[in-house]
Amino acid sequence: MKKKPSRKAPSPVSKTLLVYGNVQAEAVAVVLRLLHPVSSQFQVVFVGAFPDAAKPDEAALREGVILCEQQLGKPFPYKLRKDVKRVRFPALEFDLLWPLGCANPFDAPEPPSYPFGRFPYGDSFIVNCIQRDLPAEAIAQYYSPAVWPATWPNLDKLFRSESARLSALDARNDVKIGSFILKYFRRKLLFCAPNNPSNNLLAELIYRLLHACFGADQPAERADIEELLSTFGPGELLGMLSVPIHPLVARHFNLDWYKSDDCYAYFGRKLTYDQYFSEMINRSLTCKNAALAK
Amino acid sequence: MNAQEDQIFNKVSAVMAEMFRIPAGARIGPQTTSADVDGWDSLSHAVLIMKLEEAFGVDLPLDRVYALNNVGELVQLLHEQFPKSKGSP
Repeated sequence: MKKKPSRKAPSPVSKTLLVYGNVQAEAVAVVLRLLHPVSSQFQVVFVGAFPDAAKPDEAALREGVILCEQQLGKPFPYKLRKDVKRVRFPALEFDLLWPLGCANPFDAPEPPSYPFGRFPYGDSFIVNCIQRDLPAEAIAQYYSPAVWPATWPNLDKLFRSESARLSALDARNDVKIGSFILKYFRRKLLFCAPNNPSNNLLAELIYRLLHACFGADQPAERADIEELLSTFGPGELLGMLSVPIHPLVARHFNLDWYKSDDCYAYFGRKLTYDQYFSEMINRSLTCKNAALAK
Repeated sequence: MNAQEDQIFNKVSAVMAEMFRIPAGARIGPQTTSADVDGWDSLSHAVLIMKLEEAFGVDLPLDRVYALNNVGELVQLLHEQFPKSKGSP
């Protein structure tokens, strides 16, 4: 009988599998530690690509036989043994479903609850409206046009551009997942926010990463990884925030899984599309007015 | 850079300054990379390319726009789109 994946702690082993990168890589490391066929052979060590990340202990580096290195423009900073197997994998991002995305200048970190702010994913149309002092009701109305405005990014051009970016990403990495994203983004929810992959995509990434590491000796089936991921609640592994998709974007790309009355995870709450943008607009106006009052 | 590249560079700088709200005193140079400019991420790179294509009336080869390392290479890529016999961009 097939053994169900469990979340119990692994027993100590000497060989190390290092996973280097951002919070996505950290989530990968968490899952690999819980996959018995991996943790029975390797101590899985996450090395953060953050400025204040702690250095892993010398033994972990010395015993490192596999390095899963996320490509972030910052190479793995520590010396490893010469025969270490390096497997390059990408940072997962997808802009196509949020074509108006931008940094949000009308937000501020509020640690510990909101370390990156309450609405870290900005929207260039809303930001422009707020800069022009439009009232909240008008912004909401202009944000819901019947047809995609010509002044907003051209979705077909953006699709071609995103396809080229993902192909370039595949060419630079041992774990090739760009083509998977392009093939399945209409059929499956793969991203909850531009840099927040869903469990569907995280499972695929981990499966492909293991294949790149072990080839024919692939230690876990896709179904095992998916089952393990299903034991994590929203926000337990990756972000606690989903960004609503504009209905005209969903229509343009024929997203099978999209429902206009979907609710979106928002720091432990569930918000509708209208609630999310209403709160975002009001919060942005409050931040702007507070900054002006200073 | 030759005179035509200078001209392209100035136009690219102006588009970038407006798009990324770069303050007047801040300098964009050929060595400027996405890491040097707040908000220059993968989406804004795609939008920047679309704006530049519109501004220069060219179609840039997409297989090359994601291999660019800095503003200088972007200027060079735009420069390559203009035949030598053609006038200024």
